[in-house]
This record gives sequence, structure tokens and C-alpha cells, in this order.
Amino acid sequence: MKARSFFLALALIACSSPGSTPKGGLAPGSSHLELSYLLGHDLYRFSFQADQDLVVARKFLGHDQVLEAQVDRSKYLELLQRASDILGKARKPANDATCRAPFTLSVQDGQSRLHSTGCRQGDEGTGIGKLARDAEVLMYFKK
Amino acid sequence: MAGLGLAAHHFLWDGRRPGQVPPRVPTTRSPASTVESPQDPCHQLYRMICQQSGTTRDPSGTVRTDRDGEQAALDAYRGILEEHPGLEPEQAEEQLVDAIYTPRRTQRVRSAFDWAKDQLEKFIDRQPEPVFSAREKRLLKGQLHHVELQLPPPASNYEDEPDLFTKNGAYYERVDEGRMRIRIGGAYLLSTDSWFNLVFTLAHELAHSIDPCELRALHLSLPAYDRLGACLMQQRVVELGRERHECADNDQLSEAFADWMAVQVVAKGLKHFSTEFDRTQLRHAVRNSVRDLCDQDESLEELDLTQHPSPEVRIEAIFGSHPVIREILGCPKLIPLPGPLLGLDRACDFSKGMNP
Repeated sequence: MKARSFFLALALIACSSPGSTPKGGLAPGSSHLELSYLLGHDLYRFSFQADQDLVVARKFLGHDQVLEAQVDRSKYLELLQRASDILGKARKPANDATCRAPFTLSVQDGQSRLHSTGCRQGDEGTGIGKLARDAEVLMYFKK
Repeated sequence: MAGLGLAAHHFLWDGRRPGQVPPRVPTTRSPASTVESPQDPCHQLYRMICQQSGTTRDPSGTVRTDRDGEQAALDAYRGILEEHPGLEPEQAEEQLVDAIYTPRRTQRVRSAFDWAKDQLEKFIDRQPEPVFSAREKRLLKGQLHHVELQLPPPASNYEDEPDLFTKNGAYYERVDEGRMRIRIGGAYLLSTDSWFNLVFTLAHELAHSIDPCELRALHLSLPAYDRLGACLMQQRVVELGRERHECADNDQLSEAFADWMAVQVVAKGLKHFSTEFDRTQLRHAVRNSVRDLCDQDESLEELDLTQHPSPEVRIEAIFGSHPVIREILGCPKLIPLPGPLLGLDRACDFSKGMNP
């Protein structure tokens, strides 16, 4: 899967599934974090939706939701901050011709929204792999 | 059955050099374990391979689903965190790596990698001069030679991608000028220990280092590749979208090529065991060779947004058209067709379409 197809596929899948990125601004105290990426022939999506003290995390494999769990808010806020830091850094852009591992990351916190796409491949400074690892650990093990 | 379980554990290529024949596998006359599928493999190969859910076994080992592998990796992670709740992520990962990437498993993967690479090189060498010139052969083998199989431990080998430990991904990537590597997700090691699946998977990933799009990125093109690509398109193995651009976004050529090369390799292994396995065992080995192709993410396929041909095409048209696979399955040879259908009569190869 090349990068452009990945982003299009992701948009189409995300539009009709729970946990998708909210369209408008969020109420104060609410936030949303979403990370999607392709690995081999699997499309992964991690989504966190926070509304005041309640934080709901979902993991998708392709269309299928494989996990939904409430997670610890303070741990989630740490993850949200790290994701925002990643989004604030410049990174190697996805290249249609060579990118075999595209990703997309978005953070919405109240009225502020940040979104980025890129390529994990050969770009060891993105921190996307670690963010994915920590998102999964939070979902599964630190509720 | 108990004997076969033991056989699977001894099915290692320990200490063997690449190029040696595959190891002798102790066998029994009893079926490997799984129930024989009723489908006719000559006409329903995809169903024969993909319809059975759960674990499938052949005399060399098993293949489980992607999700089973990921769940097993997550369970291992959970066990470590529960036993040592104060561990930092990096410390927990070291323990996870030790639990998953054991010497036995990594040695098995390395052996399959070495064997697949050696077979790919031999396949290139066997091509006659009109297909590849000596210079082209050197170039292709040189590319293969430089691909590194990068495995933990230590966990820091995947420091930039620690999420891989709980994923099934096995993939090739060119990270910077001249540096190529294959990485293997931990869940794959937990879901698969069938030697035939390992060989197919690693041969597929290795073949990406010499696929038409990789060569194009290196500003190289080979006439033999053009012939093979034309044949794959003619046979609709590579989808011809309305706006297909070779190697551009959404093109299936590189994946179809990698599958095609991997079939050449795994067919060699299956042929070798065709005299040692009974018919049922051999069919199980055939099935496990490509069993994980059934797991391709359906959402991508439904949206027609994957570089991979569909699992049906990969299994039936690429894998199932190889003469050795057909022979093993007891299927008739593809029959030459006359007139305008000439060209659809046999599996694609590098020489098809050459002027005599």
C-alpha cells in the first residue's frame, strides 16, 4: 500500500466507524487522539476519546474493532502530550513511490486540532513506533 | 501424531549451510493433524487453503491466524507486566523479546532466510543467457546479498518500532542508500513455525529487494521483467486499473512479482519433500506455505486500495499455477491453447513472450 491509498482508505474506514475523528470543535475538557498505520498487510488504528474524566480507547484492525476499554485519564493525557509533541516536529513526508509504512496521526483538544501524515520507514526520529507501543500498552494493561 | 509433534521440533536447519538440501524430516504415515478439506484443489485451491479456520499443521510446524499471534504476544506482555509491575517499557520489552525471539525461533527464521536467499540466487543463475545477462545476474544477486535480516535480541534493534513485538508484520524496507533490511514482528514468530510458511514469507520479502519497482527506484530496468510483468497483466494477476501507472500508487506489480518469486522458492522445498511426505502431509505443507495470505485485511481489499492482489488471485493464479504445485496437488498441467488465447496456457515466467 502506498501512502496516498493508505490515507484515502483510512478516511473511508474512519468515516463510518466508532472512535473516528470528530468533525467540529470539542467541548472544553474533551479531546481525541487517533493514530493509524499500515504494517505488512494489516491496517491498525488506535483511537482515544476523552470526555471529562471518561477516556475510552479503541483498537481497530481494518474494519474490525478488536478492543474497547476505559483507560486511565492521567496516562492518556501523557500520551496526548507526546502525540502533540510529535505533531509539532517536522518529519520526512510520505513519498508515494517508496513508502511502505505510512501513518497518520491526529490530535484534537478542545478547539485546537493538529493532523499529520508521514512515513515510518527509515525515519527513525518520528517516535510513531513508540507512540503506538505506548497506546497499546495503555489500552491493554493500564486501565 | 505424537511423533509428528516431535518431528516439528527437530525440523531445524541448525548448522547447515545455505544451499544444502532441506533436512530429512522424520515422518509417519498418519495425517499431520488437520482434517483433509473436501475441496478439489485443482479448481478450488483458495477454498481448500482458506476455508479452514484456526490452526493448520503440516509436518514441519503450524500456522495460526494473525490475530491469534497478536493475542499470544499481548498475553506474554501482560504476563511480564503483571509479574514485574514496576518495569519501564524498555525493560519490559527486553523481557518480551527474550520470551518471543528465543534462540530456537530466531535460528529457525535465519535458516529459512538463508535457504530462501540461496534458492533465489540459484533461480537467477538458472535463467538462460537470453533472459538475464551475466551482468544482470550479478546485479540481482548483489541486491539480494545485501539484504539484512534484522532480528532482536536485543530489543533495541527495533528501538524505533517497538510496536512490532506484538504485530504480525514481516516486511522489507530500504532504509537509506544501499541499506536494505527485513524485520519480523514478534506475533508472527508466535503464530507461525511451519518451515514452508517461513520460506514463502522470507522469499517474498527478499524478492522485494529485486522487484521491478525497487529496480526502477535504482534507475534500472530489465527486459525479462517487462515480459514477466506483461504476462502477469495479461493473466489479470496484476489488476489493470483505469489509470494504472507502473510502480505508482496502488500498483500491484511489485507484490505480484514478490509472490511469483516466492512460489519458485517454496516449490523447490515442496518438491524435495514430495518423496518423503505422504499425500496428506504434502497437501498440508502446500496449504501452510500460503495460509497466511488468507488473513489479508479485508477492508483494504474491499476498498480496492491494496497493492496486493486479492488472496484468491495470489493463491490460485500465482501459487496454484506453478507446475510443481500442480503436480503435487495432482492437478493436470495447464494445456496449451491455440490462436488468440496463446499466452494464457501456462504459468508466467521470465522467458514467456520472447521471440524464439
